[in-house]
Amino acid sequence: MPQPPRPAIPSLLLGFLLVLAAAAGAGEPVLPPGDRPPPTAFTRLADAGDAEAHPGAGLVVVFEEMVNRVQPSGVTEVDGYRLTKVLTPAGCRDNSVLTWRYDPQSSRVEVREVAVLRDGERLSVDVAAVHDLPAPQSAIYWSDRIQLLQLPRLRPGDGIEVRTWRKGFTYALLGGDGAAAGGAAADDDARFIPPMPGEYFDIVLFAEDAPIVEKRYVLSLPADKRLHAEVHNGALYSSVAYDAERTEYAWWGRDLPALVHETRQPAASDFAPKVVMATVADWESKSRWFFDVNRDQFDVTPEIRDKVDVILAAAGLTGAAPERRAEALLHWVAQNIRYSGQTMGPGEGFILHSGAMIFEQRSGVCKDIAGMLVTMMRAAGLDAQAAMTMAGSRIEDVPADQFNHCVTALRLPDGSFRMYDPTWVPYDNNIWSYSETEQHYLVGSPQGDTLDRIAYSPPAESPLRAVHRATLQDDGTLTGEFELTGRGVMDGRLRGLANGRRDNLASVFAKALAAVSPRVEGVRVTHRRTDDFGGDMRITVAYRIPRYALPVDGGLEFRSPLMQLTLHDGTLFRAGATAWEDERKTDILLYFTQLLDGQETIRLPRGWRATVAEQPDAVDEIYAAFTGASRHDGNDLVITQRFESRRRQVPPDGYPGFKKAVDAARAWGDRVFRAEKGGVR
Amino acid sequence: MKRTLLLCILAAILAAPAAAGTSGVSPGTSIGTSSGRDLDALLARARALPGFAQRDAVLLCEARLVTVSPGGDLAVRTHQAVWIATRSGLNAYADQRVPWHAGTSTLAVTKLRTWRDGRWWPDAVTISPTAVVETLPYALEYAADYADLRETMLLHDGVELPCLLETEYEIVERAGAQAGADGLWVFARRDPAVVSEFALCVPVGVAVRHVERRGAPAPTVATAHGATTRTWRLEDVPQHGLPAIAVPAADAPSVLWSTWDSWQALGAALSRGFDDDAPLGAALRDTLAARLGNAPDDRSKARAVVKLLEEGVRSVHVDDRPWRAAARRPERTWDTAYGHGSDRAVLAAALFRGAGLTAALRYRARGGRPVDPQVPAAAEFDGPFLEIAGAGLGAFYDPSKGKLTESPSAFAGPLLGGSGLIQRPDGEATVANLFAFDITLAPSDSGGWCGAGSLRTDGLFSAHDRMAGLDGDAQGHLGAVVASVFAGATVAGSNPATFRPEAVTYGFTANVPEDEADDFDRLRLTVGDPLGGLASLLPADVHLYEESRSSAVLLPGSLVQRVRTTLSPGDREFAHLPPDREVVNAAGRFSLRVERDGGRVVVKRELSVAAGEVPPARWPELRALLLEDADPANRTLLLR
Repeated sequence: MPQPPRPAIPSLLLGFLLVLAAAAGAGEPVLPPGDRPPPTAFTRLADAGDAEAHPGAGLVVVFEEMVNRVQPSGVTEVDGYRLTKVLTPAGCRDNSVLTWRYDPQSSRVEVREVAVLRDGERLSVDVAAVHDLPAPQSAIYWSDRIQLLQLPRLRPGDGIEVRTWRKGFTYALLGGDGAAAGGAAADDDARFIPPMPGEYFDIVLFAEDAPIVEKRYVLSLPADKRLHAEVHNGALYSSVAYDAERTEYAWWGRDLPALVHETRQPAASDFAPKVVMATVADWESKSRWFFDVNRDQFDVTPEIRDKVDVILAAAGLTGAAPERRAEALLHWVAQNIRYSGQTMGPGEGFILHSGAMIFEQRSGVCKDIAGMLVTMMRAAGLDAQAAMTMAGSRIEDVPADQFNHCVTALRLPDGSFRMYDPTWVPYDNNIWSYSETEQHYLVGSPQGDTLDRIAYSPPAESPLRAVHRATLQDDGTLTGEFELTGRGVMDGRLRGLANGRRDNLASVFAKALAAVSPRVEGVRVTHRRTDDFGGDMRITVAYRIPRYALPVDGGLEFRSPLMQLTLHDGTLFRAGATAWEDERKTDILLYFTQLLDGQETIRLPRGWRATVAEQPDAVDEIYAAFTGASRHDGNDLVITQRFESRRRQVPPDGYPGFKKAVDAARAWGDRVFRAEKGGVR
Repeated sequence: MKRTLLLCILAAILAAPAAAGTSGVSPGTSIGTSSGRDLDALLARARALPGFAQRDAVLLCEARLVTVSPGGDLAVRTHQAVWIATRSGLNAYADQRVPWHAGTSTLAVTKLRTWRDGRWWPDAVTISPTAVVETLPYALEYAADYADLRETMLLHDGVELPCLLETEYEIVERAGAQAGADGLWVFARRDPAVVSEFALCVPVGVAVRHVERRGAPAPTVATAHGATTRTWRLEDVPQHGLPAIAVPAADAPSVLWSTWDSWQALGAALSRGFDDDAPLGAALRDTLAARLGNAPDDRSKARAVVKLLEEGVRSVHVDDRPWRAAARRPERTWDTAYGHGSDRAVLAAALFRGAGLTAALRYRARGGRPVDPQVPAAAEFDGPFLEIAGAGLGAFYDPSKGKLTESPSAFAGPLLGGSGLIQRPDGEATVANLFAFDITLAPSDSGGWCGAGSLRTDGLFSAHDRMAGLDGDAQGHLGAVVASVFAGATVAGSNPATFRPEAVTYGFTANVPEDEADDFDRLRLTVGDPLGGLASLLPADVHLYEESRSSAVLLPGSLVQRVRTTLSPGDREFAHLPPDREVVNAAGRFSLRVERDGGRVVVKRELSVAAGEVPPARWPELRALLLEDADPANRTLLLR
């Protein structure tokens, strides 16, 4: 395009302007009182405070900005700037190496500039020294990479200034460093185009383990792209601006505290300030995309069909109702496809491996295991689809990729879906883990489905029925048997207890009974086969404990053995066995609800009677409840306990009530019973 | 000779895939022969083992061939074939993590396959390219200088229970200047093995020292092509005992071998980089000087160095053997702010020396157990450590844990230093290992109890380092000990009576809160398990709840613990006192004595265990003693 001619600047005027410029540079501009010049890295560093201003922190994030530029193709480039300040010697020690993770199949990262700011000087670090290495990996072996850069020896007060550039995307929620931003797509840009071409999403946390003085996130979209965005878990500043070409969104936060770490906490995305954003129109679009992108992954090979026939025939289910066939296939997949993921190359992370590949490898990650089940269900003539879900965390109502897990959906005749999760139910007789209730999911389907949610599961659906029958001899020896029966979540947890080394089974349960007494002997364990899914898991543990009861003044004193067992075993009673804080700032994530229904009958020596302890006050709170009782039944002392964990996630304002119920259970476990010949005086 | 040996190695490498490819492994019932091993025959023997159907896994063969080349290269070929039948077996063998050093070695995977349903998966010869995955150890995620270390994952395809997994790989270490090699082969593994085999191939003329222990076989020897191969082979090997112990060779057949000429040569190789007298760089020297400040004595200087290291250098927990011949310069470790054990040791040595102390490299025999002086080998030594000396100071520094101890008994047993093997007298020969806690309590005016007592810790029990040593906090530790015996107790004052590295006695005054009365209107006083007492010196594999065990207990020495409580009840009366009790057996002695002394009651609880190895058959005796000491019946007093 021809440019308009520029007017010539008279040389005299030019000279005058130069003089003005020189005069302006000779001194600081005069600012109105109270105003400050625009911040620089050095002024930010100085203003960020020292260790005293950030107690407990070795490092403070002084300023972080990510500018994401999205192109029409969805290819995104991100210019990142991060300035941190080291506060303590420990901070110097622990931040001496910078790292960046990426997946070379879908993204690129360049460390463009790194400097240490010290005493008003910018000491450049040679970024050519960045090591590009295979990343540490466990269970998921997708050949991810990591870049490492060694910093020079740091000193308290140093700033670390980093400029990076990223391009591409990070699949699902498995990566840690966010997505990318835009720039003109070059010929080799195909690998950077996101799974949903032309679309963009991100979930941005405004919190980390260090306090943050200021963090900004900028998103620049082509003008024709629209954006859903929501801020959760706190307040952030925001702005929107546009011109003819682009729309620019920005969110920023100031003086954000470091993340709090508490026992059994959910992921930070459930409680830390965050922005969730997506350009995709709605969940239905995402559902259709997920269906389309995996359309060819479930082809049934003759080998798979043969195997399905064998499985169903062996179970006597050939021609059985769809749900029964589906369940048989679910258990086969759960038991035989181990969690160990090899890479399929391009498309890894969001495309499920083909059924044929997984059938050959007999291993994969959740999406591949779920895909294997889809394939086998289809081989059995069932209408199955793959679905995405978010294990252990909340999904906000923005159609971003808030998913970290993949499952299987079986369409029922009424059009609804029944959900199956083969990854979470090895050695579990459920089709969907009860550790995943109230969890959102999105089924990939040709017509497009919307976000749905697994129903709440009350404690009664996950009971541990613990029955203890014992005989107390007059020398204090206790002989008895624990019978543990679990349904719902407790089925799989009991199977897990019995599923270790075969030659170590008695030792596993002796260890559990050590909470009753380390004198335990003669431990004999019987149980339903851990891969027999014909019913609820049941384990019996017979034992003998010499000198269990304490001989005192002609009588015998003891605590409830069943309470000692359950209160010290997190597998049997998570809420009771966990060491809880006095107060909470964040939610508890128990993952499941649970009913602990315990009854023990202790037969006393002939002619003996025990105290019937004062009955504890029942605790009935919103999130938990406890009742305990004791009574005589002839020569038997009968002690009961009943605890309900009523929600998988407990908010801070529900914590006092929850804790009250736990404390009541513990107090009941500490109660001393006394038996005497003829009854207690 | 060199050429011949290389040809021999090459032939061995080439033979592996060739064997796999020509073993007649085709769909059918014959697994075939692999690397000279008849897998059909081995599986048949495995099936004949007692209880085969109940096993998680059975190793058909667990074999290693170590080849030392004339040029000093070290090739280690591992061949494993294992039958797995349960999820536990699958978890142990299906995905294997192989560490190796990419800077000095090469890794070649020659077999990675699964036999199931009459065929190999993926097939007899193919190794799936996505099934061999190079990764960085997690420990090195923030340690750029060590980024040459790799953990390569070997992922078996086609695993469905039950099945046979076969893995074979070779790591060739270009050792170059290394003057020797050594190693330890323990025949017993996690699961029983039909064949457990170790072979060592060295150039003719290279002397090999070796010792076979606990029933390990003598080697067969064959010489060909200028190389001598010794093969130790044991068949039908039971799994190692349970619970697993820290020193597996202590109760299982093993072979220790070495090509080092002498302990001196080994020591010299290990100490390369440690004895460099080059001065510290100016910046580090200034940092050290600032930390030393006005440290009045050598103990204070040592303390300052330890603190500087802990604040300034992260400990990278990784096997540092690949770098032992190439330690980093002290300045580099300081500048990077991290180091593995060897590098932290080199830096620490330089700093201690910079502070005017002496620092000598030491490795310690694993578990303090005796070593065979005829076989100079580092394989059974842990370390490195530093032995520090100065005016009035003798101590050991553990660079991995950042701990410095002055208690000599903590480092009893054989040591390996730059000059070779150091056999020193057993620490317990001069100082008995005694823990004695003594307290006298009476009702206090403010409720609860108050009184005075003493804590004596001698030998292995010595609390010197925790109380007033280089890292110590006397009042804090004493308070923790008292609170471990009486819940909630606090120490009001303390005073050392004896304070030496090997023996510490402190007097103290304490307050013990009163518990709430129970349902029977009684006060309960439980005399608990003292912190730092005998239980703290038992190996981590000692579990009181185990009625029997199939592995030995390795006790660190003979141990005596005494807890004596003298109680004046005031205007209360005793509702219950534990009865006198004594148990004496081959493992030691437990006694409980309750004596009345006027209105006071004295409860004396004593536990002593004999030194040495407790074989599985004698575990019930040791357990009986430990249970007595832990029994609430022997610890509980009730007052009304």
